[in-house]
Amino acid sequence: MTLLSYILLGLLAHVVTASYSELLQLSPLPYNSVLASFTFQTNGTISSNPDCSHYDLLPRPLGQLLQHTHTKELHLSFLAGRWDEQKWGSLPDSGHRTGGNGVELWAVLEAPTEALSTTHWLELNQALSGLFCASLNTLDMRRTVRPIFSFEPEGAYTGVNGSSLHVFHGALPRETVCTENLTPFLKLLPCKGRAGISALLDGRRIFDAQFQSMSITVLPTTDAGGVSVTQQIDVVIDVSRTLRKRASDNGIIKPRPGEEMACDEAKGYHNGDTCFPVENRENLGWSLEEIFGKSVPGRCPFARKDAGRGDVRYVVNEKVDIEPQPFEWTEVNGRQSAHYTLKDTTPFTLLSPRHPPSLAAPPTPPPILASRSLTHHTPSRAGMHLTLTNPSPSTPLRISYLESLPWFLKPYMHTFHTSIPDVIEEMYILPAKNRERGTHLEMLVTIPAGRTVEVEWEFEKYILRYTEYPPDANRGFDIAPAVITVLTIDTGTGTGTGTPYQMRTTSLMLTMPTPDFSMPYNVIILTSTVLALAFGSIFNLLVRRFVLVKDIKAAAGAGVKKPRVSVLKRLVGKLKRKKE
Amino acid sequence: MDSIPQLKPSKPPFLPLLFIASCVLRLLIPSPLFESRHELSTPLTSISRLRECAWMWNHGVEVYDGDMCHHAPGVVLAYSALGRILGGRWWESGLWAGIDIWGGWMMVKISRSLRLQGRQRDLRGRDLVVAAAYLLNPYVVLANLAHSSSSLTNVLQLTTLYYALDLQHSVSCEVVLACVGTVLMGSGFHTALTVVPTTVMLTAPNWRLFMGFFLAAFMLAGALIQHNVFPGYLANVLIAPLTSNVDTSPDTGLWWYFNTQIFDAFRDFFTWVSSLHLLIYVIPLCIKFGSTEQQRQQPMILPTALAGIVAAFGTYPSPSHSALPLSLLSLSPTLLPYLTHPFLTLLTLLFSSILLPVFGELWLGRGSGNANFGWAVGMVWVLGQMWGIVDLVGAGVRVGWDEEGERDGERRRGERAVQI
Repeated sequence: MTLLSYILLGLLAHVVTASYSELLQLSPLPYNSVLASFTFQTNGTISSNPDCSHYDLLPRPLGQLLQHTHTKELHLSFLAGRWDEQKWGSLPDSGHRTGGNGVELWAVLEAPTEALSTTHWLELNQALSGLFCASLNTLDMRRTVRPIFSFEPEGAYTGVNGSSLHVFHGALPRETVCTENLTPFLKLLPCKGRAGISALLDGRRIFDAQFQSMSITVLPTTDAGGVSVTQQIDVVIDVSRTLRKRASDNGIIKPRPGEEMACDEAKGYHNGDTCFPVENRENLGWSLEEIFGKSVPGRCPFARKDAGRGDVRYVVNEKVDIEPQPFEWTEVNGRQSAHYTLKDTTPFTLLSPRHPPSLAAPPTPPPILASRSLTHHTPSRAGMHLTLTNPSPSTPLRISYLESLPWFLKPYMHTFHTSIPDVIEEMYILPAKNRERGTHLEMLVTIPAGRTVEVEWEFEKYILRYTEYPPDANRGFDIAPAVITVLTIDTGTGTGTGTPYQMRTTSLMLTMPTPDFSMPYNVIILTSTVLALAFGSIFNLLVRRFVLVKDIKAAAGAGVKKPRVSVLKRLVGKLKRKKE
Repeated sequence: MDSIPQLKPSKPPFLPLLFIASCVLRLLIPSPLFESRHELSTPLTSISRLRECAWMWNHGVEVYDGDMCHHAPGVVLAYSALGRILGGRWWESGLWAGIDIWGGWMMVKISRSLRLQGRQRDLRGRDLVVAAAYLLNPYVVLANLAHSSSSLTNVLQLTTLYYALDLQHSVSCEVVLACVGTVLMGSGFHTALTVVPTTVMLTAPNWRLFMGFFLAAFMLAGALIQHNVFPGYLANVLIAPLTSNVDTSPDTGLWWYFNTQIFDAFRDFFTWVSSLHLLIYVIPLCIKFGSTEQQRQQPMILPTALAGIVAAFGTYPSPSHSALPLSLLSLSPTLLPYLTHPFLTLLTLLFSSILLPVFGELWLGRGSGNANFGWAVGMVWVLGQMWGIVDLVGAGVRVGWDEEGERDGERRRGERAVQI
């Protein structure tokens, strides 16, 4: 009987197998940059019974974590650097896989009550911090918000009661992202960074880039207990810098000598000493070995072979002469995409030729340009300034704006004003509570076509307690980036097109006034001294009784008065008596 | 021969002129210069906070949910209603000028009622001096320009004092209402400490009745507010002044820096001690200055001393709180010759009053300088006030002893005496 059940279980396990696929997409960008997107997708199931689960391609630490905390959906992203939208266009994957500076985590947890979901969220953070060597355990309820408009569950939820799903969002902008986060990330992959495209991921190359984003997205699928885990790394590598670094002896890039610089000779001040750099006329050619330091050693044996999809893609605006020849060129979203498949053990390398920058120009501008900054910054008060630009000349833009501010930043919403009236459709604000939760500000904004909306409001800063300042107190505190989600606009003629675009502004640095850290004892004793002086003086005045001075003199005079003799004479007298 | 009715020479109308001049003074000086200065407004009294409370109330956000709003609900409702009716903020200066005029008028009425009851010697021109002591007091003016709600608190305290004094030895609903209103609309503990003991002393021998009424009215009002309208009122409005811990924003007192620096193990203890230690002064001062003999002669020593102690050593103080005892000092003119070191006190207060805005500009405005500088100036400010209070209490005790001697037939006035 037990043998039969084992056979059945084994069959069942093979019926519901996990699948794994890899994809490397290389797209040259203007100004000698390359966007390299590594996508690793695993589909599997997590059974609801923790005693009977089978993990082969789906990483077990992640699976057990999701099972234990009843997490249905997880979006964790690490970001270092900044995406330059004006040069590089829209964020890859509509910004859904890219978080804000540092670490950003948002998750959908299933729990019958809110208190239980909060407990699970904290457990999730602590487990993830151990798994990814990031200080996610400091993402407590002070940095967490429950978003309303900005984050909707993305996966396929069947048979789940909507009210039992709780969305949490938290960000740590101060977190530095480096190789110690990359290594556990790669350990979750089946090939663990030894075969397939993940072998290209070397910490020294990745974190030398202008923009690095690592993300893990777990979405539920329509199968019972099914999840799809997508791990993505997007890197924008500066080709000319990498090549110059390679060419230099010790990896230190020296300034370019004057003869090699391309100067704009049309400028009036052009001479041997002054050079205005000319716009880049041509993108340099590069090879995978030059950029990543090695070629792809072969394919990962677990990766699914999909002839139509290709394992490596090279995306440009027009066909170019790349080596080796791709097995096909397809048109994807108006751009030409060269597809390659990796052979099992043959190393793979790619040689991208020199090409004019127009080949690499981003096809679509981002749907929104936004920036956020601090204004009239004094140690006690400051203001926040937000600029939202709708580049489209014809369509208004409806966005949701989410801001999670630390509790020691007290916004004065009565000073909130926008440059164009009536653009705020709806606003939600949850005021901060000292040391318990931060301010949660969320609003729906409709930006008219081609216009720029400027939003300003003031806030006040608190002085924190002695122990609440970090060791480098004068550096300041980081404010988490604001999340802007472009919502699909119901134009009336049809539903909006495409997936909603999501972007984050930069994080801000808030300098707080610091007390003197060398003074706690002095402060305590001096304050106590003043209080003691006050109490002592008042006590004496109230308790003692008055006596007239003349009465004292009279009373003293009644007794025998000793004549006042000087000390010297007394000493002399004593000596004389001794002699005798 | 029939006596010719003598015409009284008409006095020039100085008093109304003073009121008008002080009103004009408050309306002319632009207030945005003073509104966000840390020396003039505390988190409990700042106008920015009040505006934020009104905004939250108007937009349906829970007013006392976060830690932004510490103003009394009556003040918040009145301010938001005025904002809705009148629109904008142009009326703020006028409203605050009106509050101060009311305060000046209360001072005049207190002075007159003290004269009428023969509690002071008949001194002409007293009204003008008393009103000027309040209306032209620089701390009162500055607090008014900063639109701090402590102007309202001071005025409510004066009103309560007037009613308690005027209706001597009786408990009427004006007294109870004034007292409850002051405590609820003012900053709770601080105003209660000044107003309640004074009223109890002044309405003796009916003090038990007064206390009963007061407690009942206070608890009823507080419970209603807490349960129905404003949850969080208890924590944010009533308890906040009791715990110096809620907000460590710099102000001119002892406790903000103390709370920044204190070690965590002692934090809870000092949080409560910082305000509750004021209670140790209440009963001794009431015993010494509240007896009927003293009351007949100098009824204003007790409120002045208590207000001074609360302003100097309490949590979240500001010069606007110290303005009240300074003004009340003018109502006890017989004490002034007995002060032993008024010059020292005045100089210290002047010195620290000049340095406090300098600190504000340097540390909080420009980010240079050190927090220690501001804390030290605050210490000197508190020290100056302390000397003033000690001087006042000493003078009060001496005057009482002199009067006692007068009654016993012994001539003590002017003789040197020591305390043993």
